[in-house]
Amino acid sequence: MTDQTYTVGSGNKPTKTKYQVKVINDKCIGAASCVAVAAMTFKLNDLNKADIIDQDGNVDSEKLLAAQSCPTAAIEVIDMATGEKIWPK
Amino acid sequence: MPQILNGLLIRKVNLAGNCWLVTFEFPDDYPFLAGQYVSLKVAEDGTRRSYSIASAPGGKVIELLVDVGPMGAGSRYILGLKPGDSVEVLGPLGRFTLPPSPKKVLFVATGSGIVPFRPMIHELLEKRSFTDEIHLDWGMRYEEDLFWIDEFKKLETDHPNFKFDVVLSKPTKEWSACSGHVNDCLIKHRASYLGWEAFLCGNQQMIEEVTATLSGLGVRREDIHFEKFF
Repeated sequence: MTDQTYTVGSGNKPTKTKYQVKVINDKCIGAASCVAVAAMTFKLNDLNKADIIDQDGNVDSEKLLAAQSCPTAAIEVIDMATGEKIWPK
Repeated sequence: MPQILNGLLIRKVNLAGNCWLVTFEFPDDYPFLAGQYVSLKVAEDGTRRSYSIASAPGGKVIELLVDVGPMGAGSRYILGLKPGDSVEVLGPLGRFTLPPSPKKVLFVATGSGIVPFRPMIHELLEKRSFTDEIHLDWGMRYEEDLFWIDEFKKLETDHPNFKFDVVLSKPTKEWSACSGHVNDCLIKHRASYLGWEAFLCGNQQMIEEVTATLSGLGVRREDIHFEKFF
């Protein structure tokens, strides 16, 4: 067993990130894992769906983790430098 | 704020059918609220699966109930785990939790949707000494897939304000309790749910049907909380 490895969402706001995130509205069930993991990038709206408030709100690793932890894979991550879809694979 | 922690699998038990109860231990106390879930990393490529926490808050241990019926990445991962294996856990996550002062509480679940209600009910009855009515309706297909029945029956015996009903959609001829959909039984139990607060967890169809039913039976829309399964 190892000690705690990582606390998400606690870093300083990055100046510029390379990953762009996109919410697939129909898939979003308002589970809010994205908000918990990357609170400066996502928020829930009045319809309990995730909205993006700032593409550069969190570092890339936190945005990717937000997408990976979404129970319905409602978040896509694109590497803007290459155009590659990073998540879902 | 959620954390990524490594937990050790200390127990894995088949409760019934496809449902396994897996127990993880952490180095320190694992703080969470009844009703929250965690996200397990189930593949090296970053694939994760979400599971509601089945145990009550407090201590270094959490229990998760995993339905391996879908036999996807999460199912295969859980079935392959053995005691002593380390698992990467992101959490706690989720906002499907009890309010500080709930009204009379109706819990409606289908399938493994009962999982977040187990710690919630224990918290209300045993930690908060909640004395107003609590009713749990659990919809399942087959009697042989049921689990935790003795536990909820004991709570029912120990706490007169707690009522528990199982609703089977595919009952045998010998089944004498509720049958059909949970929505049908809600109507049979009470003519009105005025003054109740409802928590729904299960498939989308159930949530839509029960929300419509309860809205028609006096429950305010803002007092209906739900967590959809997918």
